[in-house]
Amino acid sequence: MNPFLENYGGLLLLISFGALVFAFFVMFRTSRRRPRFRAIHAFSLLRGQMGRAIESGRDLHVSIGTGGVSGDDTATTLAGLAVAEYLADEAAASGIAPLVSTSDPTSAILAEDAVRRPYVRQGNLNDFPRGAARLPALNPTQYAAATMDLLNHEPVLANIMSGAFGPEAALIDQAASSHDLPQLFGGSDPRALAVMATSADQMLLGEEMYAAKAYLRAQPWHLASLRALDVVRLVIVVVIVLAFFIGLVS
Amino acid sequence: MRRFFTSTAPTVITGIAGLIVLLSFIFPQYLLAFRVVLINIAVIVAGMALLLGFVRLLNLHLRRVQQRKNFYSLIALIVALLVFAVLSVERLLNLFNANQPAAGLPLNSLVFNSVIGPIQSTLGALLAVFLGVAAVRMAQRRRTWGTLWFLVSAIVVLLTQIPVTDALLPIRQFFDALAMGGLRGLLLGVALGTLAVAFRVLLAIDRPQGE
Repeated sequence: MNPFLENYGGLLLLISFGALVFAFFVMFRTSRRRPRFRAIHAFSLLRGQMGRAIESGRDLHVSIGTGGVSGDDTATTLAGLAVAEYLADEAAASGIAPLVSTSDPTSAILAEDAVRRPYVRQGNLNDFPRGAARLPALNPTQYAAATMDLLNHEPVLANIMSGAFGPEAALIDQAASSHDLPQLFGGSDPRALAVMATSADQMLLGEEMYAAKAYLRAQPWHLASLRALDVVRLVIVVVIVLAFFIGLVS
Repeated sequence: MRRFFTSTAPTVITGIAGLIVLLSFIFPQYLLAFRVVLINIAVIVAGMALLLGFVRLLNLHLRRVQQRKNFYSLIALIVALLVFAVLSVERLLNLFNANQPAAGLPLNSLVFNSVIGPIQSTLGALLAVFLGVAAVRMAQRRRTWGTLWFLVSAIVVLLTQIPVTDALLPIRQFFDALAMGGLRGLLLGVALGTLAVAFRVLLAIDRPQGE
């Protein structure tokens, strides 16, 4: 037997099942109404945040973390980028962009692109503030120190962190908290989540982060993928519970 | 034409490359060679991105210095250029003395052990203090049952690190069991979310690159 199938056959089965469920929700979408998902307050907080920043004349800092796009953190970084792009979309008409920062060079290129894209879509690329995506350091701890400096010295309205972070997030949190900045944190690392649970006003815990596009943009494809994810999760939970009881009985 | 190069081509290349890498794990006998080539290309692209990143970093701090925004940016700029120059010299020396790599100066490890290491350790040590401050702030701001639960479990975990008494161990084990369940649930969600994102990128539903 193929060693990959031997080791990861279950995973492959799960992916295939997820793909089938996704295809089902895309093809047999009988209702035109938007499916209802549970409310995630962090996404509600994001809406209009850019408008408030523009009105107050202050920047909105969006950190997409320390992950790159060629490793374990790719999906988390892309989820963080979705938040940055949404905020850039809100701001594009005004010619002001959120201040996006990261410590990974590959993510910085994508971040610049994500912030620029709404300006291209709206046909006002000339208003795009170059350098909106910042790369203040190339290492997670140094990045945290540089972000502390940014929050301490630049006029920032709110601190949004969504991406791959380690425990160094506490350093950024300290700077934001000392200036009483509202904070939104989304991450997948339990250490960073534990640290940020002490002070973030709103949190996106693990899987909630990856639902950003479905909640913020509500495109049919994203909604279908979210529904497929819910079904797959339900199946996994049922399998775990069944396995537990079968183990108990046998 | 512009749209082809900025949107269609990157999306198609990403999808095909991703599929080849994914399938190469299932059919290594056919696709392993392709995977190696693609990974080598990715390494070169990542190297170029690092170089561009360094230029961006210099550009950011240079602008901040020009705008007289921050004195620390000047220090960051000088140190970055200095370290870059010094390490480049070392690499070049090693390159020319390929048969005797030891003939090069051990600057790489010197910079790491004498500068980067201590700074990171200092920031790491500060983390503990900041966490303590954050816990106190949390207790002051949010007086909920959740906060109480969080603080009690944190204190129990800290106390059981001290090898004085085993009295709190059963409580620690209780908290550990709960935390482990939550952690597994969280990781399961992250894994599923990662799969969903990968799926959307492979099918070009999400296009993180291009317009």
